[in-house]
Amino acid sequence: MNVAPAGPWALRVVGLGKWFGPGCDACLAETGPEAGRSTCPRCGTVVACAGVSFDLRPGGVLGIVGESGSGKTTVLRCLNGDLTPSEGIALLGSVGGGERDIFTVSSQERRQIRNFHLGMVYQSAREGLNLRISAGGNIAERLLAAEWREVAAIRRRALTLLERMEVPRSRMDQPPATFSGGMQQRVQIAKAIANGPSVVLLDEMTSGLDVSVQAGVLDLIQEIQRAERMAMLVVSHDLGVVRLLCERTIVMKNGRIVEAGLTDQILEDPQHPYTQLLVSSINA
Amino acid sequence: MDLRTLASLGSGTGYNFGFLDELSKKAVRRALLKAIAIPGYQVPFGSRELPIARGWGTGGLQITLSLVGQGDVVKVIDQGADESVNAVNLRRLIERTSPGVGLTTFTREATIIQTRHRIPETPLQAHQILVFQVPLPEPLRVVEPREEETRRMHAEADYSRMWVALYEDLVRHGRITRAAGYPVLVNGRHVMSPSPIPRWDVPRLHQAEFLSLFGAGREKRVYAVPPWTDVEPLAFTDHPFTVERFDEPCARCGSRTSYLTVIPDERSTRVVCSDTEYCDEHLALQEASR
Amino acid sequence: MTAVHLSVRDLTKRFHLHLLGGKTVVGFEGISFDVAEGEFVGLAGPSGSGKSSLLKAIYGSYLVQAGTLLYRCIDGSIVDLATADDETKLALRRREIAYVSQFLRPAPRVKAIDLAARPLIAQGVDEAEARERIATLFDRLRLPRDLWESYPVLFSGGEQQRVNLARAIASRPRLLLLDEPTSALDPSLQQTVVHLLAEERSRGVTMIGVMHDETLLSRLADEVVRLDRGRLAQAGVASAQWN
Repeated sequence: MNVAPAGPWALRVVGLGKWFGPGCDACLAETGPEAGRSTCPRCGTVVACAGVSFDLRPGGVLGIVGESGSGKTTVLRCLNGDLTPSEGIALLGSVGGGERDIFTVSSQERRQIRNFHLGMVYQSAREGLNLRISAGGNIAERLLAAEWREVAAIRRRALTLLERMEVPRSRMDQPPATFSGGMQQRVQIAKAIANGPSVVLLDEMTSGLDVSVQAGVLDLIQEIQRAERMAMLVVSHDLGVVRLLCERTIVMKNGRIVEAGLTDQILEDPQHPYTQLLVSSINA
Repeated sequence: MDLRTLASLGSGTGYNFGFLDELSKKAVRRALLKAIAIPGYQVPFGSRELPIARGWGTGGLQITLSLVGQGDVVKVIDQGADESVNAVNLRRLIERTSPGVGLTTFTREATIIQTRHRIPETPLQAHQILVFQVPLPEPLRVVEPREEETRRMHAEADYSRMWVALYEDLVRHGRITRAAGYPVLVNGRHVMSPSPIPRWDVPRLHQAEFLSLFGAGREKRVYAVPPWTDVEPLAFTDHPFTVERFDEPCARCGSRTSYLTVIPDERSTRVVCSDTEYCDEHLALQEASR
Repeated sequence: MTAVHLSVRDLTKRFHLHLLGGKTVVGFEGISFDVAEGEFVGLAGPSGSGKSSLLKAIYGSYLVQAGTLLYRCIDGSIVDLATADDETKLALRRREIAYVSQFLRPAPRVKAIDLAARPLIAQGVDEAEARERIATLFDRLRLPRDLWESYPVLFSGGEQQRVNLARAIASRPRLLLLDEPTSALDPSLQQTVVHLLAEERSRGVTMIGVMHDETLLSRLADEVVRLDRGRLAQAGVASAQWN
């Protein structure tokens, strides 16, 4: 794996599309925000996302907002390799000099990219963590995947990460099944960033948490993002989360991007009718 | 040799030579060739019915029966012993269905050695084939119950969960407690179960002069380690792999260089060589030199 | 004769309110004025005349429908802020342009001193030095020391405003946009802020400020641009030229 210096962007996505079903000529015209639906009325294909393009600069934080079914999580899952996209290209600044489409590499290389260059935080800790093995073991898994082979070094790194995420030292060798929801998410974040990935993908990571707990998790994410200078792609239906974390925001509806801009511009001067609705509903 | 001749060779027994029909043997050999070509990779094969129960060495036996020909000499051991009930039964089956095949207990004489859970102490040579009986071929089963998922893990060389299991073992117990069937990385690519051999035997698979074949009859898998192939136990740089240590020599032959096993005696327990043939030979040598 | 730092030409902002049946509201229309390097330009006018909107359009929080916002960067290159892409705007915000809003929207669990020091640290300033610079400003703004390590979400409007000011000034921007920076402060603190801003101006920082208090504004501003219902009512004579 050749690791080139990060280019002007850490992640570039061009024309990403993902649909479930046979697809027909009418699919793209009959779905989307104007049509107000994601399912093609002619062939029944679900167009989860289409024509999604964006750049994420190294160390930048980009938000994707939209209601459930808008396709934002599909974008994230395609990037992480949990789903195979139907079309489009994704380039990582740190992979192959930024010229290697990570959607078309072999499954083995995909795994390597996931192990060395990406981190993913899932909405549910259950998905991102093995709740039965220790918190330290969960972090160790990422490090072992990136070919760390010294137990002492692995434990040092895991301890540093857990302490930064404010998980008490004494919890390191306990299984996260016994932790609170907020602490589980903090362990998940520690795991996702363990290898120093160039891009971290976060999927609704605070949705299941109490508001007071949410704030703490968001602060820690912000702190660690600044310290490690990772690029982050933050998917959330919560504009408050995006306002706090992201410098730029993409708004999605029915599988398409309806608006993209600086986060303060999206919030203070939304252009698209859907964004105006979204913003008015949080300010209300 | 055509089918008619082959059939006539076994005519005294009423079975085809080597018990299995020729096409089945060919299918096994084809699977073995693939296994040799991809060291450590588990190749599915159509496991046939044998007059012994699945789980009693049918995988190893099908390999042995598919490979033996006139002039071959077969040795069968069970946990190192030539005379255990299981080893004797398997040997008898080979003898009765494969006329003209020699049988031996001497490691040096054998061309094919079928084994359950041991590698003979006497070093094997390039012309010898070691056939392992394997109860559970999938090394990842301990961390992942789903077959589809373990196949994906092998395909992507995604072995981090296997490593985590070792890490957790180490953290919980201060050492890796796994004794038999210690997972190994073959040819730098596939994680493989060496079958439940003791740790003692694991390093002897690394860059070995001989061919190792593994057969799991119930699980319908064969796999192989060709000669001169890297076989590395999964271990950490600061917690290297170690083999069993014995404080006492063999109570029977006095060997300090073989793997020992505890056998309950009438009065107490005795610690002796697990490889009975080696023990006999060592004892004979000592008496001769006296 | 000083070089022009920002040239506003025919700038127009309309809001299309889709939720109100596509109604269009004018923020401001056809605004033109120049700001020279190191100059303080005051924006004046009654409430709703479009002063804050203009400031937000310059900062990039509002998108404009027509006109240009030519900005001279430190390296001499000129960028039209009205059409610049997001990354260019973000880069300028990190290095050159700061904005003091009327209201601070602080992250809930970040301490005042850390919140104010963040832009500095992002610029690569050593953490200890960043905190020291902030401490000096906090002292000057008479922010009680026991609040420094406390959370601004719990602060009064005036306390938050001082954190906000310290944060913007400490990062040493080339262009400082001020939206009612003294509105929540008592008169003696207002004087302090005026002194502080005057100092910044004398260091060469260009400023555009909205202040409803005309007395304070007149003490700081080299020029006053007066708006009325979104239109230019009166602009000061340009003392700079675009070269």
